[in-house]
Amino acid sequence: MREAPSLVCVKGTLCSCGSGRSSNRCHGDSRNEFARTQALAEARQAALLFPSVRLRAADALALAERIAEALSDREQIAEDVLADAAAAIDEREAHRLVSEWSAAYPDRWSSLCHTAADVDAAERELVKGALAAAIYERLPTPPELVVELELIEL
Amino acid sequence: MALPDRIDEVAAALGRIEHVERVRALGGLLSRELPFRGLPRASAVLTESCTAAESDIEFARAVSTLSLVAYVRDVGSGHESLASVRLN
Repeated sequence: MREAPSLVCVKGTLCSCGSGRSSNRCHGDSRNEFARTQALAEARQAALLFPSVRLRAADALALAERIAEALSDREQIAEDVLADAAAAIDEREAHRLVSEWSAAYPDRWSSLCHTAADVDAAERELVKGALAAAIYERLPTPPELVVELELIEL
Repeated sequence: MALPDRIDEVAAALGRIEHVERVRALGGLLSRELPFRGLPRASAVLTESCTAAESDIEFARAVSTLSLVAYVRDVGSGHESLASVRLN
């Protein structure tokens, strides 16, 4: 994964993101923290909204399989487990996920990265979202859904 | 055009090949769990459907569209419930 451009925000100087605004009115503004968090959350949720954001590499899918097997029932995936597993995904697979989505939605991705002020973090979140989707898709079907189907008059 | 018809139309227009592929992928994963013990009818329906989704792209496309329609109706009924709670 490529290096994130570092944003140096020194009070009174222009923000290094290139917006032309002073840093304390741009990425140096602490009020932007909420927007940054939201932007990273949006990157994480891309896989929920876009079925194209899916892992394809066999080793990545095998990793999702192992994590799903270790989860009990519909348990949430621990954040540290997800982060470690996402970091273990092959760089080419991670790059493919990011480049395909960002090519399909270049303006959205650009805006999201700008708001997050950290391209690398946005990429990591998108990859974590794809991994989480693969894990959840491999959890056992809730029995109550199948029972409902058994009882339906077809 | 009535709202349910509009929902069907929009759902069909939004459906892309990745939605169809996802239906097939999920069908493949569901197949691994089949049959469900003690649930023969459900297992038979799901086995037939997963096989059809894998072999017939139009069937998979229809499932994908219906899933979106069902989701929209589910969300819509949730909003109605919420509105009634607030009114009460």
